[in-house]
Amino acid sequence: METIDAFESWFDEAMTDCGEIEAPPGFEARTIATLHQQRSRRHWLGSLSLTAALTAAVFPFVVYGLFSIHPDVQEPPLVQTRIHAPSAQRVPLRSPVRHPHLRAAENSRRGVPIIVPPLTAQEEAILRLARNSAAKQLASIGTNRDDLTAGSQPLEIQALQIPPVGREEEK
Amino acid sequence: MRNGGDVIAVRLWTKASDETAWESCVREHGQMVYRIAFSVLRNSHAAEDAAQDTFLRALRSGKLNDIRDARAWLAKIAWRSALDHRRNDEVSIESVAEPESQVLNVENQLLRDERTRLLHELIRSLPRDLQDMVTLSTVQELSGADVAAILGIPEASVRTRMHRARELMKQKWESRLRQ
Repeated sequence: METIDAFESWFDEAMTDCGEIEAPPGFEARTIATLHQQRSRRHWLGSLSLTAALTAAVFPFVVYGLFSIHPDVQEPPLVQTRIHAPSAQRVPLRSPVRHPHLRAAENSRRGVPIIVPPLTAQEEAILRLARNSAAKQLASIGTNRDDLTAGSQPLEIQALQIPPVGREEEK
Repeated sequence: MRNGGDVIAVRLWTKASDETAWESCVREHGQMVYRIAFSVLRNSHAAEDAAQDTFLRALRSGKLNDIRDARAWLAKIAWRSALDHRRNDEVSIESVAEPESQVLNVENQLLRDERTRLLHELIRSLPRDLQDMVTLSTVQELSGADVAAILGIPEASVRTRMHRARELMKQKWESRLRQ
């Protein structure tokens, strides 16, 4: 019994001694300084890594912009938007304000140029031939008026016989 | 622009308050963290390194304001950190040094050192699970519930193991007295 009591008291004292350990002086200040240092280091590393990432992202574009060989950009071929058609084909505009689409020979309403191929020589010749033939026909009609009455007969108008209208009893 | 200024102001305030929170945390729980580290390592320099490592790990792990029980959280980190330091540094028995004592009497100091040395020898002779539990029980700030939380065992198991540890240590202590 005495041994048990002796051990218990010894153990409690030993445990108390172990628990009374104090940190060396300046421990807290050193720890706080370490934490500050670590925080600033993390901040610095974070900024550095962010800058490096941005640089890595932008660098290829800069290099491409500086050293890439641009192909000679040629202007698109000029398209003749106005057709030099014969004067008979042109439609005179009575009121340009009322018909803005007719004025838009060069550009459509959306700004897209209307590409109209010019007439070929063959087409112009056909057009000219058709116009001349039509004009000749008109001219021939005007000069030979007798031909119009040659095949026709004079109109005969017969007298109309109108039956009397009335009742059957009266008749 | 005003929103941007508000965001910067809030961030500065949060950062400042966070730094203040960490400082107060070190001042409040620094001793406990150091004692846990010392109970494992039995070396003042190694214990200080482990304690600082504890706070650095805590800083890396997240915001202090989000932690509900900072004391238990730090105790757990301190325990793991001390175990890691013991594995890495392999503190030998010869290098074990007791911290400076506040006791004025030299005789008491010698008695106390002898008592502490014997206690740690007895603790080292215990099985590993009992060893860890008695080591943590030497820290004043830790209750049975705290020890249970750190070791991840039920609180009742702490009491049972402590009883077993005492029995084993008593036998060894008696055999030493007989010698």
